[in-house]
Amino acid sequence: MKELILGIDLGTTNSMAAWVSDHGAEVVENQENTTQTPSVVSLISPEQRLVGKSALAARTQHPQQTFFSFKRFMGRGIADINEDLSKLPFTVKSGDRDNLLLVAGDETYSPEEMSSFVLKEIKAQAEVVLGQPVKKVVITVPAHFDDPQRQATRDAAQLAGLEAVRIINEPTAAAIAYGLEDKAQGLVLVYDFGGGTFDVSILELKDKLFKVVATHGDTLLGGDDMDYMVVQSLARTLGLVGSLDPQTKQGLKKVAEQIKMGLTASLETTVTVELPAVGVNQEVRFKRSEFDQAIRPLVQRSLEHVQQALREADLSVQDIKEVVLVGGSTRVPLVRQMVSEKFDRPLHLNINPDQVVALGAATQGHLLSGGRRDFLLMDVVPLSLGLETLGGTFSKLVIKNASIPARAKEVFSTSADNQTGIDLNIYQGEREFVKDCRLLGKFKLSGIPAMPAGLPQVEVSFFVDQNGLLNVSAKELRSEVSAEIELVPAHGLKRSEVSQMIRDSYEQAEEDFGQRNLVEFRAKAEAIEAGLVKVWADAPKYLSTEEIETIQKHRLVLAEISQGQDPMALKAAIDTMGDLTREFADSIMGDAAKGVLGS
Amino acid sequence: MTIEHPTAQQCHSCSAHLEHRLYCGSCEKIQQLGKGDDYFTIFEHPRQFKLDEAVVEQAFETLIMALHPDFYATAEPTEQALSLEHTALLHEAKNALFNPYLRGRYLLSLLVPELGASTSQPPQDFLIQTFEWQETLEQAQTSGGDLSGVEQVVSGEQQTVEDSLETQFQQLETYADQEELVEAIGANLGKLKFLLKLQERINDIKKNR
Repeated sequence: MKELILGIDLGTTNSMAAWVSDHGAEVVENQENTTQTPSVVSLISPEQRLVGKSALAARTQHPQQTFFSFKRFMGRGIADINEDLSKLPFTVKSGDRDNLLLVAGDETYSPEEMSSFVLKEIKAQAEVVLGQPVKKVVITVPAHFDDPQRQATRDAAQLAGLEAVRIINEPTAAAIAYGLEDKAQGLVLVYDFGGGTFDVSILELKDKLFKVVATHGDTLLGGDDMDYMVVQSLARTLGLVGSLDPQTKQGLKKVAEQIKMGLTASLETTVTVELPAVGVNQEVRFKRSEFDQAIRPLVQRSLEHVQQALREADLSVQDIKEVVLVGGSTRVPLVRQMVSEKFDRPLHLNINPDQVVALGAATQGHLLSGGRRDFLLMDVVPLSLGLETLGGTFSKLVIKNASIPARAKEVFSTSADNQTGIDLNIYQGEREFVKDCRLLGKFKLSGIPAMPAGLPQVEVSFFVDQNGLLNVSAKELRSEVSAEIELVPAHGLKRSEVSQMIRDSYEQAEEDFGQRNLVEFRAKAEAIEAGLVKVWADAPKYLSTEEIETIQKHRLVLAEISQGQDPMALKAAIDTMGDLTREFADSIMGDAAKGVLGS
Repeated sequence: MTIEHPTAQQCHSCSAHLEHRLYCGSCEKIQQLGKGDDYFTIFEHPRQFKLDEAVVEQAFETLIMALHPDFYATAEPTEQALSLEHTALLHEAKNALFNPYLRGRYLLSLLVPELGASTSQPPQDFLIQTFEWQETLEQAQTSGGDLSGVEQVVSGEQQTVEDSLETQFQQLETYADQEELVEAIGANLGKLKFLLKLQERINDIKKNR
């Protein structure tokens, strides 16, 4: 059996999981349960945590403890966020490294933890729907996410008890789904305007190869910003000035979302605005034209990124064969209109812009599990990677838009006589000086034998793996002194912190754990039964009538306990079955069959 | 001197004859890199300066469909590691071959290994010749003058240098032990590097208009 690898779209506003069933890629849901989850977490108290829809419903009652859009803070420091954090109803503060923390009462949470709550919810829902444990996932990230942001996403998965076997880019995931579905060929531009981020990727689809040729984006441009434009406009209309209380902020955000959705299909919408804290309770009419005027600069910004991507790929709008729209914000009529005008053609609208990313991720997961090998996605490094050299200049080793996995080497030397160590500062970005780029980490190669300046040859190797994550090593070629770099992350969580959090979460969530075990043990019991069925006809050759009877009885017991809710009892029954069948297994099938019988 | 090419022709795992150097078409095992494997030979392209892009492109596509880590996610760790390494090598090799300067530098290092990774400087008289072009570019950047003239000159010069390198490398392949020839190739490579940078700058200026 192929291993299950789910595809998860971990979005700024909404998340969901998809898998590949016998009918193809589909969102994981049934009549009662769904993995479609708003990316919202409400921490009413340390014991009471709401995730998804219920958290969304709690936002005006618990405005300061209900967190949304935390994806925008993943792997970022205060200096990276060029937005006014005071406009948020909850508190975001700077951590002791260059990281951000969300404050809920006396507790603080990293954005990684918040995302892990969403992932845990999705995992739990998926396990109920699919009736089997979920351990491995492909998670999507905005194409423009840099190294710390990708790492933070992996950490979030790990905190949720999931192994992110692959991190892939959202527009590329969409392109997989689109390319396979439509058997498209040629140059395709994916315009991905989500809740919190904007990406544009240009892909060349040629037979089985899907190659990303350029990608560009803005991790701080999304539907959230549209909402905020409406919030500002509403505040003016309602005469609200100065700083607002958290409840009013949550309330205005909610109204803004309603207005945005209401105006998707009509030219005018009326909403009831209830803001008890500031004594507002009235109907407000909002016209499409007002909305368009408010958000036009944002759409304009997205089109500038499109132009930049075309420039980097040396292409013009005429070269693009198809424009694929992805992300909830592409439902906004002005967005469609302006993109369509830019390319002077109708847009590709056959796919569901909310689901296509998860579906593509699931398809990639299916490929990784060995379920198919009829296409290959070749993705790129979104931002150049390199080192600080003399005078604070940025020396690029791996250039933006290079296909991954990628590697590069460069030889540096010392600038002072008898220098025995060399500091290597690793940056990511496109600018000429490191002060304008993002510091990924620092390390020192020490133990270089004393030599005159310029004589040592320090070879630095960069390797960008298939997840777009960077590994660095350095070696002094004359002395063979070398160092594998454990990058000390300038942002986000340290490895040791991730492990500590995982331990803590296990202790706190023993119940979740039990539930997960139950799912796993059931699968195991099923496998044992299936194994026995296969060989049972041969049983009389090896077992006494008594033994056969005992095993038969226990098969029934095991089947019954499998239906129950007690993981520990089920585990015990499985172990007993292992004991009962061990000799049988040994004698008839040798080592290979042992696994099937679960001993 | 003829180039020795003692590449292993048999799969290390099932001993089948290898159609491609990096993996076995018969048992699908990835092959270790061996002596004689280089940017050219992995694509079944002759070691020469003149590049047949179609040959490389075609081989690249076949190899990447066979070697990419996405197809080895459930394989043994050693296979996974080889897949990752080889795929990175394919990218690195293709990038180098499609860039005439890097291709020339690499070929030179193959033919004259003792040269090491020395970088070549363009000759002084060539640099003086380029001042005029650089001035034109400078003007074009600030005041938006016409670029087509200088672009034509630069690409013409590039063609001349590449043609010359092609002949020189052919000579070098026959006799590697020719100090003057190696020096002349170095000078041409220096020119080429410089011309490619100019070309890049022209493109940048055009893009930002």
